[in-house]
Amino acid sequence: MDRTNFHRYASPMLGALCVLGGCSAEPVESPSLESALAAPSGFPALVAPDDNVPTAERVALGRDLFYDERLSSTEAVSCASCHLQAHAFADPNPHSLGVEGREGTRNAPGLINEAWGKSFFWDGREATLEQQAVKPIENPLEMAMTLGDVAARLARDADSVRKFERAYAAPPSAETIPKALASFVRSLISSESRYDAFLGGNENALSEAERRGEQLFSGERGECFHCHVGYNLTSQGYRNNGVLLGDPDSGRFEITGKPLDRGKFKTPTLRNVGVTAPYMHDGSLATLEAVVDQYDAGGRGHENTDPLIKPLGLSDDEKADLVAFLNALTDEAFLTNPAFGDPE
Amino acid sequence: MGTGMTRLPTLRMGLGAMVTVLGACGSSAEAPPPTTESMAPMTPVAAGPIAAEPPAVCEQTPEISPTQTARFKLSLQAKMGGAAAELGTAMTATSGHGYELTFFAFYLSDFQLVDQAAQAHPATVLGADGKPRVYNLQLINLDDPSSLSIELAAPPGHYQALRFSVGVSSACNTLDPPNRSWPLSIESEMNWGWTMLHARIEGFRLDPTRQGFMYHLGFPEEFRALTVLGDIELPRAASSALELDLEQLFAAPADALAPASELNVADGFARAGTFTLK
Repeated sequence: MDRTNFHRYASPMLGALCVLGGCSAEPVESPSLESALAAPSGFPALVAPDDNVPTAERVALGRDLFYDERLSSTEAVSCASCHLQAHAFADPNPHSLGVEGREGTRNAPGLINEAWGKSFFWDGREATLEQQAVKPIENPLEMAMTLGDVAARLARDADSVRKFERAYAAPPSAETIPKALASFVRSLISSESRYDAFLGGNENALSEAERRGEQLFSGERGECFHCHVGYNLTSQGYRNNGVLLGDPDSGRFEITGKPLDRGKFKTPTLRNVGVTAPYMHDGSLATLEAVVDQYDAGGRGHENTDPLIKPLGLSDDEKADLVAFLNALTDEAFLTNPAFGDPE
Repeated sequence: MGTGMTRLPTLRMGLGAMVTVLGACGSSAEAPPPTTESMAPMTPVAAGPIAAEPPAVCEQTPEISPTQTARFKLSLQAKMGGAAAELGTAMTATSGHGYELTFFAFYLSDFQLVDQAAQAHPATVLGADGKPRVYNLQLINLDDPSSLSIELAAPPGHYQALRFSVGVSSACNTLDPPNRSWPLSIESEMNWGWTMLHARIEGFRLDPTRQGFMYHLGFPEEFRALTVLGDIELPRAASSALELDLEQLFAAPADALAPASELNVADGFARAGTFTLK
C-alpha cells in the first residue's frame, strides 16, 4: 500500500481547495487510510488495490452510490435495483432489467465475497471490481449513462462532493466513482452460515438431513466439491455444467475465442444459494430442486458439457437432503446487515 | 575424435545403449581411446521412478543459493501419438485409441540435477521475472501456454539427468489452507479443500463411444519422483524440450484404453520414457 503519495499531496491540496473554492466553516477532515475490512477466520487475506484501500469513508460512499438512482439515465435504476440485499445481492428476475425495463440476457449474480474474486461477470471479462463497476453504468441495457455524465450530476450535489473529497480527496469522476463502488462491494463479506458454524465445531448447527446432504455434496455421489470448494465454495473456474443444447449464450468463449470455452461460465459461490434464485447465467432454473435435477440428469445436452457432468443416480430423498444442505449455506446476518442496506 | 568412431548422440540413453553404439562402430577397426566428454567416468543413473524424498520444509519464499549461478530453461511439450497435445482437440495415441482432454494440469516440484557421480544438486524454479517461484514449484496447465516454460537456477556443471517430482509434497500440503498463495490457492482448481491435487486430468475417451473421464491424483501415494536422462551442460543458453508422452499416462498393465486407477496414472508419470529431454 502506498500511503506516501496520498499524505504528501493531501494537506496542501485540500488547503488550496479551501482558498480557491471557498470553504464552509467546518474543515474537511483528513481521511485515514486504514482498511475498514478484514478477512473472516478461514479466509485468505483480503487484498485491495494499492490505490483503493477500502477505508470506512470509501465504503460508505460506495454504499451511497450503490443505492443512488442518479447513476442511471432515467434516475430510476441503481445497482440495488438488480442486486437486492435480501437475495444476497442477486436478482430475482431471470433476466436483469435496466432503464425503461430493457431486458438483458443474463441474471445478475449475487455479490458475495467478491473481494476474493479473480474475475467478474459470468464470463470473467473484467479483472477488477473497479473495472466491473463501470460496465453496468455504461451498458445501454442497464443504466445507460457515461461516467462523465454521472460525475456531472454528482458534482451538482454539495453533500456528494464533500463525501468524495473526504474519501478520495478528489471530486466525483470517472475514476473515483468506480473506486467507491468497488470499495462497497469489497465490504460485502459473508461467512456466518450454519455450515460455517458446523465446520467450526458445532455439530448441532446442521440437521441430520443437512449433514447427509453435506456428505453427498463432498463425496463421490454428488462430487460437487470438485468445483464448489473452499472458503467460498468455488474455485472460480470456468465450466460448462450442462447448459441447454442450443443456448445462444456462449459464455467464456465470447472472451477467449477458444472453442473449448463454449458454454462455460464462471463457477459462482454457493454461499446464500438458497436466496439467490433463479439460477444459472440466464436465470433459467427457478429452484434449487431444478438445479439438483439438472445435475442428476447429467446436464441439459450442450455439446461442450464438462466430462465431470454425468447422471448421478440420486434418489428423491438424496435430492431433498442435498437441497437441505444448500439451504444451510444461508448467512442471515449478511441478508439483514444494516451496513449493507439502503442508507436512506 | 578417432576414425571409425561415430559421434555419440547428445542425448544419452543409458550405459547399455552407449555400449551398443560403440560395439557397432568398433567392429572394423581397433576402437580409439574415448574422449573425456563422451566417456568421462560416471556412475550412471537409470531413468524412471525413484523414491521421493522432498524437502521436509515447504519454502514459501525460496532463495536462489549462491552456487546456483547457471540457468536451465525447459519447454514442456505435451504430446500424444507424436503430435502436440491440445485441449479440446481429438488426439490419437499410437495404440489407436482416441482421447480429448478438457483439463490437464499438474505440479512439478523438487527439481534436481544429477551429476556424473550420481550426486543430486537441488535447483530453484524461477518465474518469468527471474525470481524464485513461491513454494519452489510450478503449476503446469495445458490451458496456460506460459506455464509450459520452466527455468531452473542450478550450479554450473555437467549433468547426466534431471530429477523432479510430479505433485505437491506433504510439507507443502500441510500449510494453513486459507493462507496458501497461488499456485496452491483454491483458485488454482487443484484443491480438494484440505489438500492439493498432484495432477488433474479430465476429458473424454473417444472410442468405442465418447465417454468422460477424470483422474484426480491427490493422495500421498500418488505423488511421484522420477529421473529423466539427459546430457546437460550448464550454463546452457538454449532451451531444452521436456517432452511428455501423454499416452503413457493412459497405459495400464492390462488395458491401454483405460488405466484402472489414479495409481496407474501416477505410475505413468514416473515411468521411464514418459518424460524425455531433447
